[in-house]
Amino acid sequence: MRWVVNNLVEKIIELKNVGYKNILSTISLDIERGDYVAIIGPNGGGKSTLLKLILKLLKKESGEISLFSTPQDKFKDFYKIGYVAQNSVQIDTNFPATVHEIINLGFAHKTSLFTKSSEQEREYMEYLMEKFAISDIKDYQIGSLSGGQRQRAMITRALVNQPEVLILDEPNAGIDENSQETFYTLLRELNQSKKLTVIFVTHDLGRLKNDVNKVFHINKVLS
Amino acid sequence: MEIFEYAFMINAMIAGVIVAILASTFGIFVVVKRYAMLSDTLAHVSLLGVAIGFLLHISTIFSAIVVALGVSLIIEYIRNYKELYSDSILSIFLSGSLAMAIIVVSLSNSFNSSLFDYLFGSIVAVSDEDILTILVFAFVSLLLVWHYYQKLLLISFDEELAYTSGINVKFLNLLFVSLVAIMIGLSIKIIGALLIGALMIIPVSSAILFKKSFFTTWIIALSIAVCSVIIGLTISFYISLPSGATIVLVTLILFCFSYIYKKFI
Amino acid sequence: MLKKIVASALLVCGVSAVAELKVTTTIYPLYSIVKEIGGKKVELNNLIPFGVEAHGFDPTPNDMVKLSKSDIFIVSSDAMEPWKDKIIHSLKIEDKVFDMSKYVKLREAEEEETHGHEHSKGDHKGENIDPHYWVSLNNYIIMTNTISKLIIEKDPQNKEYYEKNRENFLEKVNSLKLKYDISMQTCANKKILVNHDAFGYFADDYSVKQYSISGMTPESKPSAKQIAELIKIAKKEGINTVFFEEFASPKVAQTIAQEAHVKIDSLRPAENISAQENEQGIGYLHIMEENLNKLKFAMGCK
Repeated sequence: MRWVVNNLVEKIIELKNVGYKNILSTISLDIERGDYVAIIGPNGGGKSTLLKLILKLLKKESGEISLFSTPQDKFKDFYKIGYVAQNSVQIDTNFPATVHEIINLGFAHKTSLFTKSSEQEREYMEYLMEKFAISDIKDYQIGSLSGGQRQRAMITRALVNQPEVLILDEPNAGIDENSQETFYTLLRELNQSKKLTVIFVTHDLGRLKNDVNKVFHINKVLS
Repeated sequence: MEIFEYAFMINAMIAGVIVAILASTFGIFVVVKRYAMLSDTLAHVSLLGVAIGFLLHISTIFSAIVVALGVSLIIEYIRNYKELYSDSILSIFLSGSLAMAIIVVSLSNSFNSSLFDYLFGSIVAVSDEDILTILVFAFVSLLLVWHYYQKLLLISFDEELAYTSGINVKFLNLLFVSLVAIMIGLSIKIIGALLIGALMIIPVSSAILFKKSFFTTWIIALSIAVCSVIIGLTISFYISLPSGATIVLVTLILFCFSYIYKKFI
Repeated sequence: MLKKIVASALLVCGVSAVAELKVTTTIYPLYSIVKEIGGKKVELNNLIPFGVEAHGFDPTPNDMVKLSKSDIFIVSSDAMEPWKDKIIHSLKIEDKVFDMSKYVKLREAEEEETHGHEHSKGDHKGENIDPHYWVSLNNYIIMTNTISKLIIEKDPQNKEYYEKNRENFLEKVNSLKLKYDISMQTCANKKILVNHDAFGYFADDYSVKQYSISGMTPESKPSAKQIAELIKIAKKEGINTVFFEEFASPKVAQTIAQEAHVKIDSLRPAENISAQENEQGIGYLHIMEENLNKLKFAMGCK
């Protein structure tokens, strides 16, 4: 298992005066290993933009970003970060792949002619699929799922590789009431037992209130 | 069977089946990336390469591959900047290269400049060397696709997601279009520039209708493409029709069957 | 059972009786000669179907089968059949190929001044020849003699039959040639404007000046500038007819004819005939005779 119990405070994501167009200006924040972070703010306030800047999907225009104490430009190990995009509910519905195949893509970065996912990893995948209640639909085409099912599948995909950070962009949008509870419990468990750093973007803190230890309000840090 | 008494028909079958396997393998990624026009564009770019080969009196297959490869890298480079829509870029290169091919042919002013040969290909007149070349390429490229299968699938599914999963998206996209370019450059002599696109796109489109897993879809597409080649060649052998066109027509008929089967049965 | 034995006996007889020579030709002019010389003793097959333009051709499996069974494969030239090499190579029939261009009198293709680029001559020899050599009746006679010699060599048993056919055919060709020779001495304006320069051999034989619209290949399209120049030439040279050939689009010829206020007519290089003509027995000599009448009008001959 990759999770290392580390008593020292390790800065996993560090932003200093990061700016992007007129959407974000001089954002600074520190996220440490084991943090459970909520990023909140109004719709269109730049939350998704902030995530994309961290993930290098967008190029920052000013300031500095460090990931795992490495400047972002030199950072290569993006597989340590699991990401579930907001728009993953609006994928190509004709895409010819099953849920199982898509979840299996969580191992894509290390699967090749010579390497395969291990027995343990596959067991863990089964476990997660069970947890997120998608075992029964794993042979369905990804496009045939409901929004919530698809969202859960994408979260499973992000988790199978046992990332050190999990970034979720408004995942609760598609998840129904019943599964939300299991979902939050699972995240809390992973956060506490394995020091999984969770970054949760939402416009409504709601029931996360008790789980998070940091809340960033875009342009206005609360605590 | 009479058809197998002739070495040229056996050669045609072998070459056709290899091209079918390659076309459907690359075709499935091209289609799900919504990049279907890439195949036609690169086929026309290859024609430009052939024309340049005529002009410079060098091997047309070599020049076709070099030009297709060069242009595919330029296309990929421009696409990365996301300042233009992919399909506009492809359209620009498609018509541009065709225009240039016509000019180059008129410059070379030689009889051998029969572009027709490369528009429809000559599957019944492939040489042993042609087969060997495409066999080696098929072996290498299929190995590469197998090696990068998961990564290519993830890129096709969601490029951003692939990027954030630590996959070298740019490199793989370059590798992919390069392989497609080489494949098309090699295939136009066999199946023709106007028909290779059809062999890449139609079997895959039929297979997608069955709504199966990616792997199964690929197997179905591959089977349709291979069957089309075998059936098409056999028909063209027994009732004397142009082979390349017959093969494409069979893929179309199989597409119609798939569609009717899925819609009404 | 008895039927079967009789049938197979007949089959055996049939096989032994068929000492037929199998010949495949590429284009119609070659076919027309082999047909006349070989008559019933030769099983003849022509690759380019009737009514099809020869430059772009893709063999069907059927063509390949017939070709692989042929004893002789007569081709006209690299320039005319750029596709032949891959077929020969693929079927490995290099030893059956008979290239007619090695036996006739060839002329260089005319370089168009308008193209303004230099081809270093001799750099790629043989590529700049004009492939329409059968348009010259002199060459057609050479071809007839060459083919009859070739056929006799391959099938000496029927020598007399072939020789008689050759005599008969040559008599017809020679009488047409005589008509040409006489008419061409009486022309007022020995200039023609044709669609693609397929008549160079005829022009050389009778010192006629040939202007062409699209150069050597009917595929290449003339530029707007070239068309304008041709209109000027037509007016200046007192040309009264713009010729186009069948199996190619007459559009450009029409434009020029309209602009220069002259007639438009077809002149055929006899590269091919239609299937209908073949059934009616119209062939090379007939076409050449028709051409003569049109040429006489165009050049003001008696």
